[in-house]
Amino acid sequence: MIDLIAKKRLLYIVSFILIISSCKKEEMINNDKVLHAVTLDVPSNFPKYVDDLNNPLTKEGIALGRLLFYDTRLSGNNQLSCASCHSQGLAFSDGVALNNIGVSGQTLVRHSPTLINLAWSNTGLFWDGGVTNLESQAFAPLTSVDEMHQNLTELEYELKQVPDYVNRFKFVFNSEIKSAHVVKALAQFQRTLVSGNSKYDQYVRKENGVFLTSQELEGLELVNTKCKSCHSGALFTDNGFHNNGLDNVFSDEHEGIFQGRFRVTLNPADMGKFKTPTLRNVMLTAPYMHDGRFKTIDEVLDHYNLSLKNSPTVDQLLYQNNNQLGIAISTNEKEAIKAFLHTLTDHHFITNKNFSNPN
Amino acid sequence: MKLVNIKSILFTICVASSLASCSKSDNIAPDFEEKNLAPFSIEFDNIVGERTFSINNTGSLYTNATGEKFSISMLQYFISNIKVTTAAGKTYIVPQEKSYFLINGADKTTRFTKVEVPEGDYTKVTFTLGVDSLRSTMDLSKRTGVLDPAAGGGHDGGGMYWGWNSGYIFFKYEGNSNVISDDVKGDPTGKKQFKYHIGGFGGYSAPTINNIKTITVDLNAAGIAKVRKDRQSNVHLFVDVMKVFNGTNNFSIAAHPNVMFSEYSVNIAKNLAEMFRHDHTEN
Repeated sequence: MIDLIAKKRLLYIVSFILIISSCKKEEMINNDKVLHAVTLDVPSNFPKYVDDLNNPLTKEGIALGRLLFYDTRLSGNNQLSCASCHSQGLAFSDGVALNNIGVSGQTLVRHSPTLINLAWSNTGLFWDGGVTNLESQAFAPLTSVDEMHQNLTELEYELKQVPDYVNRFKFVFNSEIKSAHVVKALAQFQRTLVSGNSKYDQYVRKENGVFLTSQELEGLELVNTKCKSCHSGALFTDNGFHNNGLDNVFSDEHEGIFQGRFRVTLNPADMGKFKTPTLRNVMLTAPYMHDGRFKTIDEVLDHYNLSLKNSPTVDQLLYQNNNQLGIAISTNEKEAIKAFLHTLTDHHFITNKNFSNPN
Repeated sequence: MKLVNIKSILFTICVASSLASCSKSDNIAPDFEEKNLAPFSIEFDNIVGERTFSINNTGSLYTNATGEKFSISMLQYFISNIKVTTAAGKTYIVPQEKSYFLINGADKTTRFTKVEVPEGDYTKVTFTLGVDSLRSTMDLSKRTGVLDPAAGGGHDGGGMYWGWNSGYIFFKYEGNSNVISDDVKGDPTGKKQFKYHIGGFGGYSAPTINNIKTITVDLNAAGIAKVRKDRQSNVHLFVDVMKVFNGTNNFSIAAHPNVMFSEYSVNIAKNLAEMFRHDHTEN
């Protein structure tokens, strides 16, 4: 009897020790591998950003997103990654008007947008703002036949074949690999793509003794008076949607792709409106507009100066020419504006090793 | 003596069996107790007018009210937010996370929405055709199972998630008809394909079209649902997909071969609400 009790006690003690030791082990794992919350290093001349509550930034999540961003496994033919159309050297744009490198080989109907300061882009992504956030945005290029044409179930399977991914997803999202986590990791990485270290920024922040030339200053003044109502604030975009007089006919072909914001809201007031792109790094991101129709910044400025087309939804802010449609820009002014736009090029941004291909 | 014995045995058996049937009796509805859950299902039995539903029926085409012949290649729709109501007006709403179903016309096993509701007699069932706005905008991690954007592989496969305009396709119906032109007004690929992808939950930030339809079916005429623990009560609905064309907003395939996210989808969504007809209930 005593023996039995003793045995029971021993068992009790042994199991207690086991529990304790397993606890310790967990703690060790946690000590070794704890998720590190990240706060974006926001330039002092920038507005505050709000972290996504459902997908808070972590060092490990960002690193995973960066791996995925550059991984061709994300495409159906394993030849395209996000970076194929969002190249760092071009401020994460692709340098062509309408790309045709997608899996189908079809020419796309919209121009690949830049990925700059997306942590502040809170009015919807794409040229028409059709998707609510970076997370849901990723599903479109991933699955579209004319882009990456990936079957999401297959993607999960392919990524599960890579032990490093399995471990990283488990750690970052405490889950097996799911497409929902793929897009979350991608979103985390993209939110870190902050560009705020251009010559203009250093001038504004009075850093490194940087100053703007008189021509650049003249350009700044011209941009402030003629362009800033849409390309506003430190981000040089109001994240709004405007009809900037490119067209006066908006065909309903391709599921309304040429109708801009109207396609999403079905509100006639939104016909032909597209999202204001940032002017940051604009000298790196030609060609321009939602369909890449203008090859150079000169063509863009000429458009605003001379070629605006009238339609019921054309932006009233474009009536800058004695109440006539158009923004008067002289040849000298054009040169000054271009000089200033060059100061918005952020060389640090396009060479930052944290944003480049990790492999 | 022996006879008496047999008689008494028979009597006992009779009593026992009548008692047994009593315990299964249809007449006494148990008290409505929210935690006293029992199996219940609604069966979405697709039909096409007076005919059975079949995928790729190219050998035996269907004909709509306009006289257009067509075949069906895909039918998928979301059923969600199931609610049952007793004659006394007591209601039970199936917990949301257990209340999303994707009915796939090509896969007969998907036609039952199996849930649990309290034991009781129900005279009405209510459900949503589509996905409510709350769930449509919820964090992705909370959208699992049939709502996983990966379900079906993505939009270009059998997927029901709209990549370009965050949200779900509620009702995806595709097929072919020779009446479809080969130009941009029809199908430029020459495949004569029609596509109806009906969705729209009302908009994320700005209000947009709302094609979410709540459907209530009265069960009194064709049989109320008597939900008990020892059986599978099943409300058998016919879902007449001919109503897509022949509903109140009758239209021709040739005039509208592709309807996705557009004002016209509102007309079709109204037709969709007319598809559901109670045939009988298995208790």
